[in-house]
Order: sequence, then structure tokens, then C-alpha cells
Amino acid sequence: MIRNKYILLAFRLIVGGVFIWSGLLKAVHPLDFAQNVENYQLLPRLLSLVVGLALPWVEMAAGLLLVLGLFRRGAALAAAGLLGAFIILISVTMVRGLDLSCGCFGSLSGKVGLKLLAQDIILLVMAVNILLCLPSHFSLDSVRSKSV
Amino acid sequence: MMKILKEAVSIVLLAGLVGLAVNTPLLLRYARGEFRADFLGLKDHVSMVVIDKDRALGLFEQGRAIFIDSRSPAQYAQGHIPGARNVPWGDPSREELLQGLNPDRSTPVIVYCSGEACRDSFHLAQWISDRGYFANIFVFSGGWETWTSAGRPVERSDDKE
Repeated sequence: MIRNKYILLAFRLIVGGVFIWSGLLKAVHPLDFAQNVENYQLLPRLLSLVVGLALPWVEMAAGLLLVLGLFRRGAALAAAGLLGAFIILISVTMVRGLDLSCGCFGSLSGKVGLKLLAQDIILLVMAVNILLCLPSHFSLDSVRSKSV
Repeated sequence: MMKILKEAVSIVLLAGLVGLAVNTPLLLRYARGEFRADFLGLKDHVSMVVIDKDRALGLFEQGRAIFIDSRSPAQYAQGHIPGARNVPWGDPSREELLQGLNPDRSTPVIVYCSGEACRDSFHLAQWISDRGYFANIFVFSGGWETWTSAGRPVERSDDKE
């Protein structure tokens, strides 16, 4: 596990930044993303809509908290949970042989495939590393703990 | 660990609720019966007709229609409907590719992609329709999967060479 404070900060900025960017691109076109969710053919229509409307905001919140270092480990766990779910979803989609746009970055999304799977695995490793590391440098959590 | 789990669950629930609250108008539209066919209204587009494999074959046999394959160039090269032109939905030069087709507006155009799961054919057909290039636009929603599984004729890029 990596404990270097600068690398950990970079992990937070990378995972947080990707989540904010990805959430923002989806949140501005919520119906497009709801359609992307439905294209996976796993959820009924209403649930696809609910996920399509709610998930981008969860991503933005987790990303923002990671960047700020506020509730850092909770945000890292939320991000890791989402990434784990995405990895399972991508794998299942590849096994089913569906040819889909992943919907991960709004209109900039690529196809579901090995490249996307590798990206998500790398982000998951970073998120888990943030989750397991106790010292929180360059974060609002450290300011909070000093002021208590 | 319980504290971290509680934080994570709180983040997911609160942010998710904010997302739903911000998008309340869309949820209300759903409750009123909208979005039953398609969230993007693609299937309801006035100048776009969704057709099955028999209608697609009928148009193919008439020989007047242009088939547009919206899949990637690699997928197109591996096999496509004979005579189909490749205009990948994700290709930034699709405008030029499209202008290179028959300029006669009345020519029927049939757009397809991989199969029922893909939406590129709908996106491309709507995009073509919005630009007014063609008046008769069809989406063959079963696409390549349905065409090949029904044993319809296919062509590979190297067949032409």
C-alpha cells in the first residue's frame, strides 16, 4: 500500500477529479444517461430513470469530498463501491456480448470494453488505497481533527 | 469501520436525494406517462420509422434504399449489409461522410447498428433527420445481429477489393 502523502494527494485528485467530471457530464443531460442505464438491459424503466437522475450527483459529491479531503474515507468507500459495481457491470456486459456506449462520460463516452475495465480497476486501486490510509494530509479532515 | 460505512451510506443517500429533487420535473413527467417508449423520444421521432428485418430486407431487395452502418469501421470491415455505407456515430467527420451519399432527399435511408441493445442507429438517424438530408429515414433496430442470424446476405470490406 502506498503511504507517501504526495502520491495519496494525487490519488485523491485523480479519483475525485474523474468522478466530478464524469458526474457533471451526466448531470447536464440526465435523460441521455437514463437511456444509457436502460441500454444495459438490467433494470426496469423506472429504476433506470431513478439511477440516471441520482447517480451523477452521488459521483459529484463523492468526487468533491475526495478532492477537498472532507469525510475522505467515507467518500473513498463510496467511490470504491461505485467503481466495484461499474467493474462488475462492464464484465457482465462484455460476457453478454452487448455492444454499448458505456455512458460514463456523457456524450464523450467510449464503448464498454477492456480499456474501460482497466481504467476502472486502476481507479478502484487508488480509491482503496485512500480508504486504507489513516494519515490525512492536505485535507479538510486534518483541519477538522485539529480544531476538535 | 462502522463510522466510515455510515459516512459512505450518508454520502450516497444524501447526494442521490439531491439528484432526484433537482430532477423532480422529469420524475413528474414520467408519472404523467411520458418516456414509456424511450427516454430520449427517439422512437417517437416524427420523421423516423423503426422497421424489422422483413421490412429491411424488402427495402434491400428493391435496391433503391441506402443502408447506413453506424458501427465502428473495424466492425464494418468484418461484415456489413451489402452496399451499406459506413457512417460511425462517433466519427467527427460524419457530416462529410453523409454529404458523400446520394443527394436525392427522397431516397429511403435505413440506419442500423449492432442490434437491439445499441442506440447508435437511433442517434445517427435523428441527427440525419435534424439536418434534413433525407425525408424517408428508417431505423432497422434489430441491426446486424438480426440480419446475420436470419441468414441474410452479407459483405466484407475485402469482398470489394
